[in-house]
Amino acid sequence: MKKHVSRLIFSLIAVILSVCFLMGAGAEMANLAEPLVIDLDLSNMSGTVVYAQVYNMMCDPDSYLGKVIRMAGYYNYFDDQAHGIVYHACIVPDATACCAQGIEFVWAGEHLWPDEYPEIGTDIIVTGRLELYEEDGMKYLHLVDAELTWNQEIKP
Amino acid sequence: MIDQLRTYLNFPFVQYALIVGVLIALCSSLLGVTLVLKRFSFIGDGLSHVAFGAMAIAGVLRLTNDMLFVLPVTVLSAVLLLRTGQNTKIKGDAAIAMISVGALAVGYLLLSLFSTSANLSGDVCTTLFGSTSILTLTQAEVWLCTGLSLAVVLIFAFFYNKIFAVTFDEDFARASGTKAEAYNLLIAVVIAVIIVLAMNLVGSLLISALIIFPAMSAMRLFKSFKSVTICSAVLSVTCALLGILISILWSTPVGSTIVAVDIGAFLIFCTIAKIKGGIAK
Repeated sequence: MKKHVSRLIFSLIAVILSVCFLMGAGAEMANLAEPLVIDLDLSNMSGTVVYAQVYNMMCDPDSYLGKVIRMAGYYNYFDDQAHGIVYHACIVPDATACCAQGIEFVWAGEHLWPDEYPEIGTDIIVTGRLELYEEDGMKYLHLVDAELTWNQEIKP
Repeated sequence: MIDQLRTYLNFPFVQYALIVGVLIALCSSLLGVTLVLKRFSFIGDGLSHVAFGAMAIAGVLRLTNDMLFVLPVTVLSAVLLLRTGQNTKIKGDAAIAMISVGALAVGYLLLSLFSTSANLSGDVCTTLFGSTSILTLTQAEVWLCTGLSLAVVLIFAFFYNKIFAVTFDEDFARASGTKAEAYNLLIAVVIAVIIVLAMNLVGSLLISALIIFPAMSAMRLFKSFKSVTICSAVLSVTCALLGILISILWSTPVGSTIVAVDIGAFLIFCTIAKIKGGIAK
C-alpha cells in the first residue's frame, strides 16, 4: 500500500513538473514568437519628418523610452577597438543630406559581425524597443531586441 | 497623401513649425514692402550674415540659448549699418557688403578653429540653409518666436502711418515733424529681430527671399501701400505654409522649398500682371 502511495506521489510530482516545464517552455516559445507591437512606425514617413522625429527622440528621450519603434534608414557601424565593441546604427539623413540622425540598435539573437550584417550604406528597417544605457558616465539610447531586415540581393 | 498629412500634423514639432513659419512669414512680409521701397532689400542679407557670425561665436562660447546673444548683436549691427549708411565715407551698399561678407568669413573661421562639434559642415549647412531647424524647435523657442512676432506685428500696426511716411518721402516726413531717424532705427531693429527669427525657417542665406519675393509679387498687381502690404502678407503666409507642407510630404529642404514656392508665386503674379496689362491696352 505504502509502495502504491509513494508511486502515486512520485507520479503526481512528475506530472506537475512536466506541466510546469511545458508551461514554461510554452511561455518562452510564446515570447519568442510574439511579434513586437509597434508604438511608433517611422518607416513609411518622409525623410524630413523622420529626421525631425529622431532629433526629438534624442532631445526628449523620456517620452519615448520603452516604446517599440520601427525606422528605415541606412546601416552604419562604429568599431570601438579600444573596448572591443561594435556599435550598429540606423542612420537617417536630413533633406539637405548635410546632417544625419541615427539610432543605435542591438540585433536580437546571435549574429556574426561583419558576415551576417549588411554592408555600410545598405537600406535597412529596424524594429526595437527604445532603451537608455550608460557607458563611461554618458547616457546613450539604443533599440534593443531589434529585428533587422534589408534586401540582401541589393548591394550598395 | 491626406492621411499621411493628417498623421504628420499630429506631431508637435510639425505644429510648432507651422505656427512659427506662419508668424515669421507674416512679419517678414510686413517689413519687406518698406525695405523694397526704401531700396534696402539687401539689408536683410547683410544682417543675416551678421547673425551667422554671432551664432558661430555663441557656438564657440557654448552658450545654451544662442538667441540671447545673436539677437542683441544683430540689432546692434542693424543700428550701426543704418548710421554707417548715412556716412559719406562708406556708402550704404558698401557698408552692407563689408559687414555681410566680413561676418560670414569671421563666423566660419571661428567655427573652423574653435568648434567642438563633430559635424562642422552640418552645423554650417544648417545655419546657412535652415535645413530642418524649423522642425526641431523646442517649446521655449516657439514661445519666444511667438512673442517677438507679435511684438513686430503690433509695432507695425501701431506705427503704420509713420512707417508709411518715412518709406515714401523721408524728407517730407522730416519736414512735417516726424522723427525720421528714430523710425528708421525702429525699422532696423525690427528687421534685425525678423532676421534672427527667420534663420530658423530658411537659414541665413535665404532670408532675403522671404523679405523680397512676397513684396515684389504683390507690387506686380497692386499699387497702393496698404493693398501691397496686405497682399504681401497673405502671399508670404500661404507660400510658407505650402513650402513647409511640401517639404514634409516630399522630403525636400524646408528653406529652399519655401523660397521656390515664393519664386513660383512671383512668376504667376508677373504673368497675371502681363495678361491684365495686355487686356487694359
